Amino acid sequence: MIKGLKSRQVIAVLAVFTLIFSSVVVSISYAQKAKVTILWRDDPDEVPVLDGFIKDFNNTHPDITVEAIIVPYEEYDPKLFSMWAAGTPPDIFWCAAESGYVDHAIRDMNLTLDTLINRDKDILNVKDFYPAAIEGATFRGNIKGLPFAQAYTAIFYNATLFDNAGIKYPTTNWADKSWTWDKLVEVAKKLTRDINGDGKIDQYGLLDTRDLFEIAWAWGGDMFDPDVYKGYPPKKLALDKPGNYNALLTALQKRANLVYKDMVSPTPATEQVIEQMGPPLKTGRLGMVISGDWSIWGAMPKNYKWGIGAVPYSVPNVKKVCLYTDPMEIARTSKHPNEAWEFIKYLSSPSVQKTLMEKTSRISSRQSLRKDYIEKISSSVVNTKQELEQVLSGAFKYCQEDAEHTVFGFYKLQSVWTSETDPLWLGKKGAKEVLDTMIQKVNQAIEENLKNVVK
Amino acid sequence: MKTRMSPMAKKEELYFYLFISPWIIGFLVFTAGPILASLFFSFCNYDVVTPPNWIGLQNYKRLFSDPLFWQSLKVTSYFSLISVPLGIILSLIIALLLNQNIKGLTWFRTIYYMPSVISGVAVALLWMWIFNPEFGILNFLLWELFRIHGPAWLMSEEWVVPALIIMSFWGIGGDIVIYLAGLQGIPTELYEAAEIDGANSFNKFLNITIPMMSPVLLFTLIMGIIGSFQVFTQAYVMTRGGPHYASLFYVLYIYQNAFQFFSMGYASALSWILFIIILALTFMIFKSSPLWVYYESTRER
Repeated sequence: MIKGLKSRQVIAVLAVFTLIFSSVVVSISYAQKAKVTILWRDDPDEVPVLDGFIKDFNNTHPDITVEAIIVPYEEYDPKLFSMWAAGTPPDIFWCAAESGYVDHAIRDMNLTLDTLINRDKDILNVKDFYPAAIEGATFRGNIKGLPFAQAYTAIFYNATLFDNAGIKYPTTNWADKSWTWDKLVEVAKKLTRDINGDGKIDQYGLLDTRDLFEIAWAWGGDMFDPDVYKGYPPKKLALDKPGNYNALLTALQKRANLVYKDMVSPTPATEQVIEQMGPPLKTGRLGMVISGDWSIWGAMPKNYKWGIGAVPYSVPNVKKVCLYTDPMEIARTSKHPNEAWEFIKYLSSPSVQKTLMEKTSRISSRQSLRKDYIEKISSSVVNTKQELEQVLSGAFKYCQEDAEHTVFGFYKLQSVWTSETDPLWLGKKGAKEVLDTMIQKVNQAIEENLKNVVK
Repeated sequence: MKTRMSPMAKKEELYFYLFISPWIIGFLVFTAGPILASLFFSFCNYDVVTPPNWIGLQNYKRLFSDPLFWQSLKVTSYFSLISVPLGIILSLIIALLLNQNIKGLTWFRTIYYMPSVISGVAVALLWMWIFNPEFGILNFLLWELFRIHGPAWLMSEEWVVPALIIMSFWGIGGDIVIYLAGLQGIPTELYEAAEIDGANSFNKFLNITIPMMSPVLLFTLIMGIIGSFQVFTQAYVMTRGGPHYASLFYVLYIYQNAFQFFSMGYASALSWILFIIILALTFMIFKSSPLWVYYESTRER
């Protein structure tokens, strides 16, 4: 009996030792494996694709473990900032929500990547990225992120509605001088119809989703001084310059005219109705949409034909549209910057970019993949491959990176001007009255932003 | 008469603290800590990432010159002033109806309570469709029944708050249940005595039901006011504070400053002002309660 107990004790002691030993071994081997975290938003289209990339990367890189932290969109920035405050930032993050890489850079959150890019320039082939995409990740001359996802601006249209109205599709040539704003409105008028005859319009010619800074660009002005886009915080809006002011004033007036004078665009209330039914273009209630290419992401309804065209000249000789680049950034205080670099390099590699394109029908920041993109979307649009090539070359030529990413404290300024211009879109106030108050209010917000961070 | 504790009692005391310690620790770490921290931050410039720097009373000074602070206060008070009393009256009426002896009563009670079970975001999305100016059932009924062209509701500066007030009645089921419990606690002999004295139903309601229900009314009034000052989900999901700040509720403004603009210091100051406002309102209601709240137990003494 005693003997038996003893042997049991021996076994127990042995078992404990084995347990300790094996856990030490496991933790040593684990310690050798660098754990890299990446903060992502809970997007049902993106997460499965990202998971696939992580799995593939972890399999091919036995010494690195990448782990995704997925949070809802609206919690992305709070999570990023609070993880940072807690001293445990995610190794990789990006402008997934409202704050852009410039907001991160001014707070000294992201690593400057130039040295690493230089080191790996042969594998990386930086020249393959659209120059504008690299520009859209540059802060005061330093590259702060590597492009992962990419979007461009164009006119996306419902070709069936054009056919029904018996009119020609919009041109794909961005340099076509005859393709003007007035021409666009004229086309839109022909596409605007009351289909069921109840006296209410139920098919609109045009929805221009561009933000204020974009329409200021389109009309030859700018809301900000040039160095603001390079990462220097704005001190005030550049709308005290008459050229800029008049450009935006005209732009606002023309936009409001779409709803209340030309009657080709839905009122905000109707626009909300359309948006509740799905992505506006896909509802079939719009002839043309000026927006990022998310208008044609995912599967397109088969009951209509679709097309892509060039954005027209609002004023002669001036053309600038928005480019949307999502650069992946590395936390400045990351414990594994090299491993994080390996992963973002992997994410922007041609093979991963191609998979991303195939799974999400999004364009790549890599110019070498443009042909694949054209191949991919040509089956779902009426345009020829040559026409698509023309649209894309224009979209990447006449573009500048989204101010949301490049202007410090953008989100606050945008929320002010969005609210301040509501009375104009609702047809309650005139463009000039709205613009004058808006400038004053945004300038106040700029001052508050400056007080908040820049010391 | 307190004597030294027996070892048993001491042990029991120890167990007491041991067993409530999860709550105490939770309270200190997750509630009291952040509350105190927010008081400190309200005197600072703080964007979460860079360390806070002390700026004294500047955040509080900024409040008074900030038109959006006043706007959010206006919107919230407007909502509160209408939705709380109306909500109380409506739920009391329904509770009275549900307190009758009729067939299928439990069904009705379930039906009226059911909406309260659904979560805030789902309700908000549902009501977005109800208020939809073109396809919404509300404007459809207004047209079919009264030949009225309904307003654009959530897209209209004038109608957005009334719309949210209408929507707030969706959740009155909770209050109805409380009132029902209160109504059933009123002794029937009071009504019988009144009937013998020749009181009609209105007299009975005014002189028996209301006084006997007044403690319950006090409770729902306070909870209603606190709740209405904390309106967030509806505005966040449905209107984002628009159009043109017409539905910029106070808590939404705090949220924007804290988690979208990362002016954590200013948001903390806003939160403390809200705390003081709610505290003051609650205090005033409590102070006024001896005038209109009837407690049976106090009378008996």
